[in-house]
Amino acid sequence: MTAEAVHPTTPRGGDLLGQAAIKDLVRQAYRDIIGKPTAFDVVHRLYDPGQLALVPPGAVAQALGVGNPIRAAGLRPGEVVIDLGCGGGIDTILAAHAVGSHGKALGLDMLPEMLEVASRNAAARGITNIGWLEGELEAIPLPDESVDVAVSNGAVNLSPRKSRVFAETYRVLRPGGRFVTADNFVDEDLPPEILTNPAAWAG
Amino acid sequence: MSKLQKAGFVDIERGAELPFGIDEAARYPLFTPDLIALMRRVIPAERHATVARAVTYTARKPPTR
Repeated sequence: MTAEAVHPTTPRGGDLLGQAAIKDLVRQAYRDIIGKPTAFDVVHRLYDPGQLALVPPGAVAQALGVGNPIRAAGLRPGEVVIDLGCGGGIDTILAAHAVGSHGKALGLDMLPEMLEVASRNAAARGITNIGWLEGELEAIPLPDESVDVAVSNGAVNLSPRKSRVFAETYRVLRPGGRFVTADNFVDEDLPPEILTNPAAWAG
Repeated sequence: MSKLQKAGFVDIERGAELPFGIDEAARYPLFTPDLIALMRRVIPAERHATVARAVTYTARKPPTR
């Protein structure tokens, strides 16, 4: 059976939620967790201790990814990286460390409140080769061919227009640029009670 | 993977993979307690540990257009 994203845009049986409703749902779900003290411990099975030593507790607490794209990205000094759906900034901060002072890491998120958290997290470690962009994955606010590497961690699945996200990522990458994306996939259909639960879309 | 290909990416590789079960989902605040309880109720027990897989894909934009 073909692998399907956990949050398919059009589940079998027809549309369950429109694109605008999905975006609103995701925005609200993330707004609800911003700044809340968390102990979700999603990072320790994903990141190396050496990586976690580089990021402040605030970034660890807000980390909601599902993989470790920075490990797979093979970042090199001097590269420009964009973190698509950066959240609290854990991967953006790790990217900034990896590309060094001659490179730059950019975090993109649709929530300005989340970018404020991410910015504070970077500032807590004195990281300066980092920047923050407010926008959507489907309309990345960068010129064509302006980054060397794009990473995302549990973010593409939140978009109701995944093909558009991939097209935008392709657009902003320089020729030869790399894209590393971690997301959840299912092999079998989830029961309809799950597919029709709005919280499943944002989870 | 097909959507990455359609976008123009090449050298697409499936990398690290982690099981993502209900216990893992429960660590994420966006999976509400009600949803987690529903998942435990309606998903067969033998699938609880592997409801999904977290997969990392790498891809590359061709060096020349």
